[in-house]
Amino acid sequence: MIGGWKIPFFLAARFLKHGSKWTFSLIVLLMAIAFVNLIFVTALFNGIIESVNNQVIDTHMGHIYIFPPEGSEYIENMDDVSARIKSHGKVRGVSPHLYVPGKLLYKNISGTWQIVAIDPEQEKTVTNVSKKMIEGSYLEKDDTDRIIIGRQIAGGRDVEMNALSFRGARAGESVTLDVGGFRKTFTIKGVFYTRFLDTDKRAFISRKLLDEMVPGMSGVASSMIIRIDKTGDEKKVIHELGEMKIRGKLFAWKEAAGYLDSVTESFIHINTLLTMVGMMIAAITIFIVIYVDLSSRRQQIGVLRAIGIRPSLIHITYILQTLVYSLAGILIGLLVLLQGIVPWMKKHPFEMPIGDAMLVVNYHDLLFRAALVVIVALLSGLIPVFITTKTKILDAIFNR
Amino acid sequence: MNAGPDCMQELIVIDDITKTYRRGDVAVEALKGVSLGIHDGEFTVIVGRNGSGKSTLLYQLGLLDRPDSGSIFFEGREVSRIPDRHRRHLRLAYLGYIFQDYALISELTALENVMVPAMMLKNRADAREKSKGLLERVGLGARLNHLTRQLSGGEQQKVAIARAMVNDPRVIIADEPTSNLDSIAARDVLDTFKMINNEHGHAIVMVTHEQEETVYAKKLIRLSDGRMQ
Repeated sequence: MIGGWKIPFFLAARFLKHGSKWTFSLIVLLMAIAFVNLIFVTALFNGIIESVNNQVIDTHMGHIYIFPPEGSEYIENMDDVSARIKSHGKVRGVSPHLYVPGKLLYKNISGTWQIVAIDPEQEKTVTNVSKKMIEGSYLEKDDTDRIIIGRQIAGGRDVEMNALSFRGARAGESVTLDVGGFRKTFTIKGVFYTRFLDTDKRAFISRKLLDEMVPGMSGVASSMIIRIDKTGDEKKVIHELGEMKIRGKLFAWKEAAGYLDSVTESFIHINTLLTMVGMMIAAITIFIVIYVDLSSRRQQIGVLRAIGIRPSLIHITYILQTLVYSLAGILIGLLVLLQGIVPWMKKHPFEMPIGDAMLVVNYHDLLFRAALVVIVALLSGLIPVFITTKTKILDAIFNR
Repeated sequence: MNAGPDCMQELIVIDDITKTYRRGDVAVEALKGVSLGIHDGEFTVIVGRNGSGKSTLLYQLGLLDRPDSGSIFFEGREVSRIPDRHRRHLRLAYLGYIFQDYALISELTALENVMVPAMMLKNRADAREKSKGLLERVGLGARLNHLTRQLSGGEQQKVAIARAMVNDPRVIIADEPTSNLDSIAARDVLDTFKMINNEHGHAIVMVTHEQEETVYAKKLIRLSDGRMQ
């Protein structure tokens, strides 16, 4: 039959052009909301996961963590090892850490915290602790009688671990480091707050001081942390560093911070669950709206059948309309999301105990959810039309 | 009756058909063994009171419904039991149906309503030309691009007539085409039917309960309580 295939396009275009603008707007709006809802939850969880990951990398251990080689307590010749690691093209910074096994005493409070001797300048190339000072200032290389402490050590009213902390130690006050009876008093140079608990339970002193205090420890490190150019390249760089015969056990941050991996895994599971629920709600909502809209067109479908239009062409007519609804909804949803919600959230992130969470929208999630909205809409459109083209023509025309 | 030589002379033959509807728990016998023949170019008027089975008979003639028993022949071929797709093609190419309430598609203009069935058989340009010509013929040349809701009842009925004619059917079937119209519009529509019958040679089967409209009939069929009188 000549030209029959053009009828769906002809009819769909006219139905959309001359149909109720309110109905069109309402359906498109609902599609947009369903789409944004599907993306928002995922994007938020992506943001939380990314925030946790970034906190681990940026404040605690960089991308790659080196433990001493098997059987050794320390990484020897750390300057040499550092230099060799830095020579790798993708390495942006290396910072050796030496853990000081001691207690900190403040007034009449004492506590065992992780005290790390660092080269302040090298540490800056890996972590951003230097930028997270909430009081006082960051360490300098020659600060031999200064210490910076995390907010969880300093304590204070709103601090999570206040009960175990110094309950309000301030920059400028003194603390004493007790290492096996050997004591040294430091001035608190600054307090940092990274919002990553494990980092905020640390205190940093200058490596230069430690080398002066314990010359035998000079040149050794308990661990080394490495920042590379791009997150995700860890495995590759570890492999290449292994080929450079770097001595020590090299781990990507995800492996080294295994417990955090389980936290992010939990977030991923919750995200999957919420996404599935969101998808079901979106699917049901879209189905109801499209179903109601097309059910009200039974008479129209009956008339088209009565005048001899092929059922397959009628199906395509309404599928095309539903396709336009869903694509318009997705487009509006994308505009609202990418031009409105995401930039707003960038300026006003969710402040969480682990860090600021923004919306992280990735191409794969967008595509998957857009496809889902389209498929649900098409099915929702096809089912009532299919049913109507299977009922008796007169029942459809007279809406019986 | 069978599809023998007599049937071949007639366009549509209805042979002893019955049809029973259910309304809730009640069975309504709408047609109780009706037989009739429609000849090419004939203007047939079916009259009867409300509930006499006129519309039910028309649905059978228009292949919009199937009888419970009996047969329907179109040009000698039994069509009451053929597959839907074949009945659809007959409706498209050989039958033009005009509903009592016009059954136009409100989102389409007068011209587009007429074009739709034509586009199944012709390319769009030809369908447009043909539809335009028909609408001009029924006096709607100035209303081509009006949506049907912008037209009066009489004008809408004329659009429905043009739609029924657009594929040059052998027979046009009209279910009380004037029942929703005032007397002037009704006369106008009936004159249009007369013109179609005279000039185009389409057979017309029209149902009415207006006695005065029977004057247009070359053949008059009276239905009462599901039976022909």
